[in-house]
Amino acid sequence: MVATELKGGQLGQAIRSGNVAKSGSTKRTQELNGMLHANRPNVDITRARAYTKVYRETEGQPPLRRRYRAAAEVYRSLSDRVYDYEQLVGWPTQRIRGANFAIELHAHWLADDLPNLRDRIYDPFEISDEDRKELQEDLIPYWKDKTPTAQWKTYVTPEEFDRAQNGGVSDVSNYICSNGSHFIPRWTDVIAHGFVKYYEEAKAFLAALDPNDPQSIDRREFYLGLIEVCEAIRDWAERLSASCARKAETESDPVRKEELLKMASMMQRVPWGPATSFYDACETAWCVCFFLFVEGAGPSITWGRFDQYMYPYYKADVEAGKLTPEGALELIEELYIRVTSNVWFQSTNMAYIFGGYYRYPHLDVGGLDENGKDASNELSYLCLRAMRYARTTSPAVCLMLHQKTPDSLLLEACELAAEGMGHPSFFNCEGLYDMLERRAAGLNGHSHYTRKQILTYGSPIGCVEPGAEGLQYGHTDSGIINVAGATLCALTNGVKAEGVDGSFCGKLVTYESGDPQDLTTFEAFYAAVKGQVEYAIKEAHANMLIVEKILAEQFNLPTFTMLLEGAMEKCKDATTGGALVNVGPTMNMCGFATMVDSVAAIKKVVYEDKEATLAQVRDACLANFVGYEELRAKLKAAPTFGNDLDFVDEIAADLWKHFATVSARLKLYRAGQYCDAAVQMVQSNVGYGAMTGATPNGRLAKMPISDTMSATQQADRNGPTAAARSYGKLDYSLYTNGTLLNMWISQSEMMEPS
Amino acid sequence: MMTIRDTGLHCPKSTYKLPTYKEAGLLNFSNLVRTMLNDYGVYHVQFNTIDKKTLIDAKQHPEQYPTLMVRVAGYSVYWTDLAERVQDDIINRTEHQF
Repeated sequence: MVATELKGGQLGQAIRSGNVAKSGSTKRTQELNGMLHANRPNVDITRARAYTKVYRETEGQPPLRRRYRAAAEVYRSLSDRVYDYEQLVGWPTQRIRGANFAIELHAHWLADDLPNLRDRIYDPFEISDEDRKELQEDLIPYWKDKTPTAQWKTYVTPEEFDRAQNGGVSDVSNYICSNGSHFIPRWTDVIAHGFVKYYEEAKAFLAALDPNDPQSIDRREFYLGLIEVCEAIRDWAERLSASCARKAETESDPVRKEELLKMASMMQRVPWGPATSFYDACETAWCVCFFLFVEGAGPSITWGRFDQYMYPYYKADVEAGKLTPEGALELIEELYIRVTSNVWFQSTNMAYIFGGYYRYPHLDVGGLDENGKDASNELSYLCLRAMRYARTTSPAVCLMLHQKTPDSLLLEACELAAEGMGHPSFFNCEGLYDMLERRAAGLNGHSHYTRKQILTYGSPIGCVEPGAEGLQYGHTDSGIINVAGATLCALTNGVKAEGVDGSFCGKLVTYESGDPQDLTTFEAFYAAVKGQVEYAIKEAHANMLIVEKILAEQFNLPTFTMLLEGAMEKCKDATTGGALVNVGPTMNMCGFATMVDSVAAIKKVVYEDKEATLAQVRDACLANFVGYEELRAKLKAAPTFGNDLDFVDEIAADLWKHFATVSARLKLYRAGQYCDAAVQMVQSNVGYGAMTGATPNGRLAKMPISDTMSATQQADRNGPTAAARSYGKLDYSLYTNGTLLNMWISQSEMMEPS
Repeated sequence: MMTIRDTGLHCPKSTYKLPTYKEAGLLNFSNLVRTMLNDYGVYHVQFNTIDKKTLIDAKQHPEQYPTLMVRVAGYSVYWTDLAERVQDDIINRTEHQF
């Protein structure tokens, strides 16, 4: 088939499979990039088989024992394949660009989507006929009624189950297929000491247990399980070392033979033991990252402050003459290429919204050190520069910007931004530190973090969520609240518009907040909007509490747990509160500017200018403005967010605060901490827009709502500075789970055409 | 502090071609980032920097843009891998100029 007959992801893969994507600073990274694109994303059933085997063998045994043993079995089943050109070792999958997916979370949808996986337009996956048959006939039937989604279904009514996934206002569909995600492991510790440290600790804790203490029963299971997982990791490294040595034996090129022998000896040292060089440290950074991506099912395993914890190794090697900046650059590029191979596996419905296989790995540079001084170093520059050479979609490379960040580092980051790949993200350190001080702490509390921990280990996770290395665990992109839909519900007394996507069209989708004829003042209408938002938040929260309980009871995560500071002493798994700061489920606001512009338009047109009644605006929205063109024009002419206009920016700041305040009053399932608010939900504005009727800001039914916290599309008409001033009026410290802002400045403003 | 900028990098086999920058535009851009984050207190920002006309052309002729990447929100992705309605939404965002 010629490329032009293909579409979407199918087309993309066909046209990138040749030389076009072979970018890199050296021949090696160019070839590795070529190898990445020569492989199509594929389904790997190794993990599914391992879990099924262990679960069948352990029917009726304690859930934690089964989970930990299954995790160990996965390490025992990982591939030992070593490819040409690579310097780093080990892959999460049998083939490059595989998805060694979590069947215990995905089985319920996979049963329906399996026949179309190969041919779907967005995020197609290759799968062999034999593997498909095994999934269909053996693995999926075992798991399809055991997934958290299938179990949650038994806790709620059919209407609640449907509404939380297809209603389109209060939604948890993104959350329920993820467990083991959004995490910065204790990189500094695992690189410096290796897994042998956790192995020895677990053995010591086990030996100290008193069998006459009732608590010792569960604790024994916990430590025995961790020991088994550690041993499986050690054996994996030994297998990979032997594989490198075998490949060296048959290698005729003496240079490559030498490299393979080096790789073999490196795998004898790490990740089991301490890293002794930058090269070793890169290997630990790579394999721990993919261990977590395989053990968990979700996105956003994060490298965090890579330029900080890697710098001692870099500096020592450069000073000893063992490493050049170019050599380090090549290794960083290889990390980027490898982590890009780690594709995300999602349902056909989700791929339509979140297409691109992206799994949200994330790497930060810059920021402050533990004493509050600028922390940037040569590696900060190299990590940004490596992305210019490697040109990969992953990881999200980010600059933690502070007043003290050198202009040269900011300029390096801006030059990368001008390349047009969307890298890097820019973060304001002061904002990050404010958020971490209030993380999961409720309305007026202080988080469990010390200032020193925040300065040393704080960094964003995934897209934008504040976290800290080894100190925090929890799912950070969970409930999605379509506040544009909630605003429309304030006009319709809780009823969803007809003729849009999803279910509940023309039916009550939230609650009755009042007939529009009774909302005679702006204050009354405004209270209805706030009530609708609050209702949607609380409904999502209630659903997620149930799933959190199911995850904590049955879906434990041993490798995550080892990589949390203090979890082993506490004898608590990551899912049950092993972290210092436990977060999630969190609450994400989607369609912020559509809500704000809609409320401002109603305030102006209905309550100030009295050009129409609220009931007429409702009728216009439900008619998708057909026959109401004049009213639509008036509504569209009202002030919009993103133009530095106080009339609307004050509404924005207040609704912003309302969402965060309602969220922060809700308790979490784990450890008595509180829910955090966020505005980050990637491309969901398109999907939720399709489920939302026309809105009072003049937006037509089914069109995208505003993205993330950005101004409505085309509504910020007074330039980037005015937009920035509007954004500057919001209180960021309230959004303890982060905020995401998209802006568009054209390349042609910054560079000459190539 | 010695930075990479000072030492320079020697990558003779590299595929990367250094573009010609418009220094004033680049300075405007870095000032916008500084002002927005350090002065106005905005927590995070990311940019799409591909010209809108390029994206419009890429929607018509995706086969000519194999390695074109865009920022969706929180992640970068190859243009070809996006659903058309997502492509439309990105094209419809506000393109700012200095």
